[in-house]
Amino acid sequence: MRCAEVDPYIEAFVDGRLDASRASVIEAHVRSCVRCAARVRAAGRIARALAAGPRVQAPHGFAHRVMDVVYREALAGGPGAAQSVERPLRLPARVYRRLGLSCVLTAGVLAISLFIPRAAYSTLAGARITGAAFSQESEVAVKSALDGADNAVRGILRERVKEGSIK
Amino acid sequence: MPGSGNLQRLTDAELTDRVRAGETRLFAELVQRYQDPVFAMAQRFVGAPGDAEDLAQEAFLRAYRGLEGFKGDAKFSTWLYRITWNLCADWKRKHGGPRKETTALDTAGDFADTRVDLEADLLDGEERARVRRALEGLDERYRSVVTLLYYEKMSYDQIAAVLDVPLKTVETRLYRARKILRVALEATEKEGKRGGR
Repeated sequence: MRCAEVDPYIEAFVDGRLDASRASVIEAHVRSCVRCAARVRAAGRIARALAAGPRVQAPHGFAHRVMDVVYREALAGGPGAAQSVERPLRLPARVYRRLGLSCVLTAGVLAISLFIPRAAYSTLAGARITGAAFSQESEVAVKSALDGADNAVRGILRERVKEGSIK
Repeated sequence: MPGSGNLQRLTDAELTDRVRAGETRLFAELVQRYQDPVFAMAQRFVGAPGDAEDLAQEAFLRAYRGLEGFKGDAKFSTWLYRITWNLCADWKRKHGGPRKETTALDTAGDFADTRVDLEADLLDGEERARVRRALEGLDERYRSVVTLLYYEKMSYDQIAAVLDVPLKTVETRLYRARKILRVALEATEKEGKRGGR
């Protein structure tokens, strides 16, 4: 194998990621080639320098803190339940526009009914109906009064006739 | 967490199925399995441990909430790392980069953890610092693949899934990133020799 053919495989060779047959071919070339052997040594130094990084561990109690939140979500109704409760219901914009218009109209009707005087309202609502009712009632009252008066006079006249005062 | 011994035998797929079926407590096992790499990824982005914990917690909560829609066509770990990566990218867009606390993380690397390969104990700490400085200077596209491969110990397939790019793109970016790092490392070595170190 030539150096140009070996070059793309050197990193994988150093990482131990080549299959056995290809690895043995590369190894045979590296043993006999000073340049490629230097390449393998350099790649190995880089790999070891990076792999020798500090072992980082999660803080003490990390798993318990995670499960604390997980259990709270599970009790609230399953994964994401806490999130769904916090998320507000969103309706289409046209619904909000119609709702607003209805509120404005209702407020207007209420304002009109509260602030217009009752007499004016009565006039506006139908004075004709009220006048007709009044004349009808008064007619009945007058008639009753006349009937009553008429009966009273007739009674007196009958008595006087009986007495002989009136012939 | 009680009963974790038996739970360790369950696969991620079995755990996610049972959490979806209502066994919420089993999600704790998934948190314990992946809390370290998720927190580590978050801290590399944001710097401050407090912010990293908030971000890591949010990643797990999003995974829990999204379990109903998780079809299992990818590994749970890959899906979780992708959620974390996207959160980190959003955080970076909002805040512009990690806070000063990352310097503590960088210098901590010079004191290699005993769980790392023994060979790492023999490495020159200055060389590690040089490589990391070169890494910081990389374009984001190249730095992300290198970070996920070496720091998060992901496979090429996982990196492709997390970054949502084809596998070939991952291979190409890694090749170019390492080439840039190698050139940068050689350049700083020459400068060091010229300076008479």
